[in-house]
Amino acid sequence: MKARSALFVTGLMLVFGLPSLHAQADMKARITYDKGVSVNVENPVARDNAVVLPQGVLPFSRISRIDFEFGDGLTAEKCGILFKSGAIDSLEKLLTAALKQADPFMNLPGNLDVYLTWQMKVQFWNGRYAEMNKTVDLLRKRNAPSSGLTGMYTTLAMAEQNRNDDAAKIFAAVDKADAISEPMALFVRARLAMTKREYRQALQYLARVVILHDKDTEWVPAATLYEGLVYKRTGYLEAAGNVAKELVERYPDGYWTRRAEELK
Amino acid sequence: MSVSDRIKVRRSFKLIQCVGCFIVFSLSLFAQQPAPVQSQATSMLLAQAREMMETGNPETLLPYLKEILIRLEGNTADDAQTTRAFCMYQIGVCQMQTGQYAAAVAAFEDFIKTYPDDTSASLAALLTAESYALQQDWAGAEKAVRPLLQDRRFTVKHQLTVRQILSEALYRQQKWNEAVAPLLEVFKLAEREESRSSAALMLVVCYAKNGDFENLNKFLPYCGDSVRQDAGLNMTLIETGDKKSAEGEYQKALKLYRMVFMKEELIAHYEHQMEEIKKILTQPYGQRIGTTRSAYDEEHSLKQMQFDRMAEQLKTIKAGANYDLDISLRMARCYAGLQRNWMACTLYNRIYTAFPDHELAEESRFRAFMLLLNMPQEQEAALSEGQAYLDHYPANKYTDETFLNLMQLLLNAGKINEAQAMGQKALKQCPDHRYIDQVRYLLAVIDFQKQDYTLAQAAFTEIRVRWPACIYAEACEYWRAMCCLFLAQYDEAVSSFNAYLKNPAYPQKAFAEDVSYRLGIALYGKGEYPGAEKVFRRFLDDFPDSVLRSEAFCMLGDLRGAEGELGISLDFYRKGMDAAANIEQVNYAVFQAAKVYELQKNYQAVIELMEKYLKDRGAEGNFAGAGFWMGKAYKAMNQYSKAIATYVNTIVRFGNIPENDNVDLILRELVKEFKSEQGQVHKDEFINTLAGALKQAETRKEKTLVLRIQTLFAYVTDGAERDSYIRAILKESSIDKSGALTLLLFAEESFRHQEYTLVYKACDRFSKVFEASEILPDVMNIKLSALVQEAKYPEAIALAEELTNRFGYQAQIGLTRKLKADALRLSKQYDAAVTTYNELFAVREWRGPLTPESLYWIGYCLELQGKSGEAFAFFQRVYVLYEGYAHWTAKAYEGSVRCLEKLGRRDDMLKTLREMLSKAEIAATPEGKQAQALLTKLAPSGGGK
Repeated sequence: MKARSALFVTGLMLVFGLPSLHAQADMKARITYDKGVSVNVENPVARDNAVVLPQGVLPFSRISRIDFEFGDGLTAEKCGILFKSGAIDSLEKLLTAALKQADPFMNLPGNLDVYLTWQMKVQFWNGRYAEMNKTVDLLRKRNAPSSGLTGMYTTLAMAEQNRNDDAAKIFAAVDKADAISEPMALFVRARLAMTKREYRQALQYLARVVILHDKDTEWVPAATLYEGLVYKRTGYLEAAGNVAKELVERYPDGYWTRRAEELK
Repeated sequence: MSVSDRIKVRRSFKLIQCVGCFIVFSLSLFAQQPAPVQSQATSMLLAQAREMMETGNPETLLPYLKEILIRLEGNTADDAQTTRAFCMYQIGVCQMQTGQYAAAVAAFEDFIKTYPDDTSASLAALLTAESYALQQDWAGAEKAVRPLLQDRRFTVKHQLTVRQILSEALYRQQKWNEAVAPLLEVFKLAEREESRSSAALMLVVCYAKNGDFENLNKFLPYCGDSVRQDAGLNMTLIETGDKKSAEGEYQKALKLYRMVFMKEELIAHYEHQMEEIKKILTQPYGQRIGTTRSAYDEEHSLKQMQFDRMAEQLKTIKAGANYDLDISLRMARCYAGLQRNWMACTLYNRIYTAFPDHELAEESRFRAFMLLLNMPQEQEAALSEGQAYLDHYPANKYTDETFLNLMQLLLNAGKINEAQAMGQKALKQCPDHRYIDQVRYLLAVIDFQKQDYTLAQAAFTEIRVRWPACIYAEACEYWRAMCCLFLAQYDEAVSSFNAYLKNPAYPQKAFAEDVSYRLGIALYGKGEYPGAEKVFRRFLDDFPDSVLRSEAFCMLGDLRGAEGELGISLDFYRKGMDAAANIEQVNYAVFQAAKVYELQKNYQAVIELMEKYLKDRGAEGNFAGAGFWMGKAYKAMNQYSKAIATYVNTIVRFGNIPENDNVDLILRELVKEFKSEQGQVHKDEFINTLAGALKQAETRKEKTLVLRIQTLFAYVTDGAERDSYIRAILKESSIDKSGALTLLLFAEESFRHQEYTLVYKACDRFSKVFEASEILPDVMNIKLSALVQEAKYPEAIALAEELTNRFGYQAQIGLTRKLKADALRLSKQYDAAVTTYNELFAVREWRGPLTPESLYWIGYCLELQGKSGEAFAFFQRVYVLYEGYAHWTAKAYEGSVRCLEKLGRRDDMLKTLREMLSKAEIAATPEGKQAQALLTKLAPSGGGK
């Protein structure tokens, strides 16, 4: 074996480890219809509320669920991995491309909920609130299991747009927020406290996210970032700088590193 | 996994490699039968040995090889030499396989020495090094393996083994720096993930020990699942984290601590690994090309052994203590170091909440307290946390520190009574308090703050004597001297200040500036004016940036002024004004200058000075004082109308803010002025000016100002006119808008109208807004009277105690004590009531009209207790000593008559009645009239005479 430096090895691993993000790939679907009959279809085509199959046309009304397998190996697990690595932009692009292909089947039950949920998350974090609202509507229409989350993301989006009263009202209407996601509920409360300039309260909520839910890949970096923002707003610039360093070190080369710039 | 863990596991002949962390050995599984070697023919021996080698049984093979070697000894034929060389090599291998490593080393060395050119010689050298390693003779292993580094006969695989042995040998000998190079080579060459992980692990430890954080950081991610639970790695992470933390590199420390496997993670890791092994164990043997049953069995046994060992370790991990909380505590410290205080607080809080009985719970609670203590906005939270610590740990590791810090916290918050109570509790609870000197010092400072200078002086003196090395020794010397000054012990103060300034024990002299100034004050107090002046001038030279410069200038102004040098004195006061660092210093300079101008009869200068002062300082300044001086100056200039106008203007200018209580001082001055002779002459003008101001205030809807002027009118008018002002004021909505004097009037009038709820509201508002007002005790006495009237005796008694504790021996507290005694009397606690009434005679400031009243009530209480004789004596004292107080004299006569009747002293009774009625003023009272009727009934012939 040719000798390589450890760094060189790391570089290679990263190059080969990342997915090919921009390639357009085929989509497969497993359609279950009538009484549990299922069929695999490549690049399904919809026409007049029906799927066009080689053997004929299958009306949507006969389909009990449709589960997609997207190209580029985009799976729910991969969404999680990309999100965790901070590749939020890339994830959004992959999801947008994949869900565009699945758009004609958006009203059918199946595994789209999970991808739509990921889409809602990345749209929120990328600040595309109008698009996020559309995704939220879709999830609600589909009665997705994650519909409880939609209220909380909508709250956060409102808070980001300084629509503080609306944010508070929407969150008040979320049923059992802590049961849906305790770290997220704490984060939302922190954001609402920040909108009221109750920074002490906000810091206490954020600390509970970071300390009590330290394995959470979404809300720990988010809480850390907003902790830094509180320090910045209240004039504790050294602490804000420390938080920025932490984001860069703990979540290198990704979304959170980019957001850390806001703390400087 | 260490070498000793694996030593029982061996592999087949050709695959022997024993590099501790790198290689896993297989089992010897071949069963053999004993063979009678000596009796067999050589050809048979050779055939048997060959067969045994094929089946792989080193224990049985060894005697055959040794026997062959004996039989071929001295045979120089090529074949015989080849066989001998082969046997010598295989003897080493068999000994190695049977765990006879020392013998194996000897055998291999013998072989290499005898047949240095044999093709197996290099391999034998490698096996020698391995045998040293298996004995954990790492120095031997290093020595044996070093010459092999350049051996070109080795395959890549063997070259890797050479480097594995060398790096582990160096690592085990803690040659951290030397181990790095071969470990890096192993990391590059190894193909198996497990080997790379192990190399990474050792590299991380080496880098940690070398203090090379950057490289440590690079290799941490390569410590794979197979080594992550390694105790050495985790300990290294903690140790390096600690080092970084101590160096103030909290971010790096935090990163390392986060890498440490917590107990939960460790358990999950073990369970995951065991699950994987279990999957392999449950796979049945399947015949495939390149696999043998024996290899399967060997692998199976190895995995089973690994599984059993992990199960055992898991049991230990689950049952044992963990370092999770230690790590949490360390992380909290890092967060605190990074000024991410709430993160730290939450971690501490989690530790003591989730594990209240854990030994670190105490540490966490204390750290949380200290953290909050250092957060200026969290002092209340710090107080709660500190008190919670003391509740949980009344005599523990940090109890002493907590007491001391709580004391300081309370002192900084100005809660000196609470601080004092905390200090006293600390000394009571911890008689051997570690910081007893500091607690005593703070208590002495509290005594000083409470102006109990005698007590403070004694305490500072004691601390200096008992604890000469106390960190507050210098401060004690300073404060003791200050006590002398405040106790007017000027001689002692001068010598103490001088001693401090000359004391070589304090090279820094933290109090030099203050002491240099106070020395001048002490000399001034002593009457050594030239000395004082010299000291003040020297002070001004020595401390050009001192905040006390203004005061020093003013003292020089006072000194020169006393000598009649008014011009020079004025000059100093002006300098005092310019150098003033706060409003108090400005005020002193300004009002002293006004006095000088008055002496010079330069009233215009007074007016100009005060106008400038009001312009510059506005509501921040003592505008009432300024208004007073201006009014005085106008009066002196015979401009009475202007004087009144100045007063009223000041009220109008600053009077619409309820909290400006200086305005109320002018109101009181105006009331006094109105009632003066000159005021009565200008009465109409006075009333007109006020009426104009009232009208304007009403137009501008300045509610507070309107209420203030109405209050003034209520104090200077009477009858229906007064009542109209009272009606205008007595509305609940006025309370929040009222100034101090209005609230006093409000409370008085509400009480008069028996509107007790309004009394309470007005008084509570007063207490909240005008906490420092000198009329607060008067207002609170009204509340106290209302409580007594409403028979709310326990509340009245509690309030009276609170007021007494707060205001001590002030004159108004006499009434407070009397009202408390009334409450006790009315609740039939006669002994306590008598004791409290008696207090009224002990304090000079409390004597006066309250004395005859108290004497009367003492008599009354005694009478109710059936002590008629004693009661009579008290009644008698009232009319003998306090005849001028007709109301109480009349009641006392009445009481005496009752007592005499009960005592059966009819003659004395008649005599007392006659004496009472002989005084016209008393005879006219209701008691007098009743006495007349009684006398008529008892002695009709004697009449009223």
